Amino acid sequence: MLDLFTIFTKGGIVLWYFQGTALSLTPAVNSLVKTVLLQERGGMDVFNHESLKLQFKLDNEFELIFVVVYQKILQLAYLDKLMEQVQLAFRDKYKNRLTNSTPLNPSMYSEFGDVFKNILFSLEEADRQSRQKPREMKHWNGTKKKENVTKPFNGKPQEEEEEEIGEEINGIEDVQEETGGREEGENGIDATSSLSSSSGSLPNSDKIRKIIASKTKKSSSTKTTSKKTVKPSNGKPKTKEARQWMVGGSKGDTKALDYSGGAPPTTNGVNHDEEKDLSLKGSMIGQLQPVDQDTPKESGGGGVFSLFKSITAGRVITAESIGPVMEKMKEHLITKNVAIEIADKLCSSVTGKLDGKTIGTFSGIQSVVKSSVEEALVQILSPKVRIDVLQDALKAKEAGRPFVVTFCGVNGVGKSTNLAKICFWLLENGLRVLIAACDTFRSGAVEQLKTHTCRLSSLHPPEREGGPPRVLLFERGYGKDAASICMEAVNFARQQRYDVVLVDTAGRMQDNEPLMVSLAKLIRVNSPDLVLFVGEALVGNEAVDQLVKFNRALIDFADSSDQNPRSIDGIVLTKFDTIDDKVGAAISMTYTTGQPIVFVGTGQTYQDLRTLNVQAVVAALLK
Amino acid sequence: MPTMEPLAIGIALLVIIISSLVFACFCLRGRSKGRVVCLLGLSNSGKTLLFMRLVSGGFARTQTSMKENKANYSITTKKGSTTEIDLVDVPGDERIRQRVFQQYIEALLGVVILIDSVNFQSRDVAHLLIDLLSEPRVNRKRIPIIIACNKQDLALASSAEDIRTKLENEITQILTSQSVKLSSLDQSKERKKVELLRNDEQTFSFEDSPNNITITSCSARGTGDESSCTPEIEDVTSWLNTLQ
Repeated sequence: MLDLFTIFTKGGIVLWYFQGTALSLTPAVNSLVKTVLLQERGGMDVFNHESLKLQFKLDNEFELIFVVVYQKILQLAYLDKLMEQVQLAFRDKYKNRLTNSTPLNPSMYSEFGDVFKNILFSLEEADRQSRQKPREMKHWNGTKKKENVTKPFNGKPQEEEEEEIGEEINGIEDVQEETGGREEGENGIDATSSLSSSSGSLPNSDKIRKIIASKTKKSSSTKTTSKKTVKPSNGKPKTKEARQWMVGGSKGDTKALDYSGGAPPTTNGVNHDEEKDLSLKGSMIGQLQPVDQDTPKESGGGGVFSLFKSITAGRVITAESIGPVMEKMKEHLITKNVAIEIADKLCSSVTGKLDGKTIGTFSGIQSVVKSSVEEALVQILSPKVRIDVLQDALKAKEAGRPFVVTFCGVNGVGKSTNLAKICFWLLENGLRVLIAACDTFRSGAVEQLKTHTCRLSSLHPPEREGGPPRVLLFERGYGKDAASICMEAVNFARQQRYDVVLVDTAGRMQDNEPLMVSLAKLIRVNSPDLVLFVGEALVGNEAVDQLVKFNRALIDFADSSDQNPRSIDGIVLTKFDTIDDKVGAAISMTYTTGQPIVFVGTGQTYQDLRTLNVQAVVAALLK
Repeated sequence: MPTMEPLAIGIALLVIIISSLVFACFCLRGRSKGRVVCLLGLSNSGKTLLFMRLVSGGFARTQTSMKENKANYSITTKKGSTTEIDLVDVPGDERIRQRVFQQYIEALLGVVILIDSVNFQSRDVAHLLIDLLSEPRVNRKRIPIIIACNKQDLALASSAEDIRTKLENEITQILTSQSVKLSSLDQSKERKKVELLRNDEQTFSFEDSPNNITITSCSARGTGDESSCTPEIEDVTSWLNTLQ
């Protein structure tokens, strides 16, 4: 039934395994480690790999991983029990060997096979018996129906109930007084019996209503008095003053800022602010700088205390004991703008990693949690694949083809602006760039790129007089099919020996299916070397939704014959200068896709393009 | 007061004993730190298996490592004396590799780089080598390096010579695209890296490196089935013995 049951250390040495098939299942387990455990997705404990299902369990005390692999179609009810029992048995049997761990020799654990077989056999037997047994009738107490039926009676909160009863009694007392007076003359009738009979009748319920009415009147009158006290204290009519904003400028500035009357930029790009621009030239040669943020100094945690730590006996962490700290950490991450879903998953993964671990007496739980969250964050943000645009472009140049980069994202996140910045960076490094205006929808999109191209080509004029320009805009106006424009642009670049093609696409909401289909088509038809998702750092919970849906659209709308459909290769994080230390979007985005943040936009000028500094972001998150 | 004296002396003695103990512990820690040989390489290149082969001699199945493995290993020098070194198997996952390697870099004695000769990813290996060689300490101390082209037992493995030329080309290419960076953006806070291109033609070659780099082929698994396979790692073991 089971394909594989394996026990290995976190160092990767398989101590013992039981294999049911001849196939090598190592790749499946490796991909489990790589995609789940190393990317802090440990919150879930089932993982699918092709036609296989993998279930795992971590033993943090002895740093072991238990993995069971079986066919997806099988329904094995006893797996949880099996994992638990095997873990216990293994720990009991080899406790001493595991504590003085090195060198770990798999041959020492070979006799575990019998123990495992016993456990498996007994569980399978129990499972079979339970299946053969006729289904027992459910007891009424155990069903959901009972809950639903009894709920209306028990559901009300205690207090409310008491109040109601009290009111009823009040009413009854009133009635009693009245009826009592009448009954005195009649004598023979039992007072209580008359009470019970009269309390249900109409005239008395009238009374109750009256009482309630008087009560509500009282409360409303108190309300009105309380309202009266909040009188406007100042008799003078208040006049509004024009507020002076800090960096608002004055009325006179509007004239200077109004560019609408001026001459439109010519194709030569001779402009009044050109001189200012020229100072930018040469400032972006080479690789990008990391985002400038204070990285905290490493505190010297070693020395005497770490020595004591190793001597003193430790405590064992349980999920309950770190629960409150974890909850606090989660809230902290959410205030730093990490998407709630992501913060939740991350924290449960870290909890799973810490559960059962021993810590020294001198280190508090808080610091342990913090350091392991920090480690997890660093691991999420560090790229698992290198994206070196410059080098890839050079390689493509050598191969004699243009390097195509597509930008996509929702509206107004700064696709065109950052495209221009990246273009400037590429130009600075001696590449020739063609910009393809594939935003054929938003008015002004082409003009925006035209302006950028003019400014950029004035900064980087052609190598010789009258030669081909180093940066050129490829446009076909509005309303055309973006995919075909892109294709023309790539062909044009190939003919004219442009090194890089930057494709600007129209912004689109992730839920807009027709637009997503057209984006998928553009990418499918042209198969660009790099698909960059542009997202703003201001985004909160939405980040996950955007990325997931963009990714899914690219995969869903790809050719059905295509085995490996394209998805997003990297992320451009824009508006990073606006968010202070709320840098959570970086985590949300990289966690969702597993793709690196390639560029970070940090301002308005062409120079404001950076790479991500992982340490700085993590420090800002945990501050 | 005379009655206080023995107490004072006792306290003084206690302080002396404790402080000397602490000092001794520090010394021991310092000494044990001194000699580490790291096994580096991409994921799935056979580091953990080689580690097992060197430490225990036996065969073990391995999975992707999440943590480093560390063990003592004794080397025999030419004169016949034996010394203990620490063998550290650094996980290949890029995210962990850097973090773990930085922990041991101060105590480095030598580096074994393993390469998967069947699925040879020249670019990633080249990046790894550049990172390693441009590390100031590795360069200054002239840490010896052996590049072992593993998995030679498989039919599709490329030869060590092939891998050498491919690597040299790849490294040259990367360095030329990065050389712009070194000349212009020095003000950045990044750690200082060492200039690697030295010769006149501006090409990288392993011979020119100040580190003594050996390239060899090996097979940590060896041929045969799991119970009977014997490794072919003599080059690596004899190289380890040359480290003092």
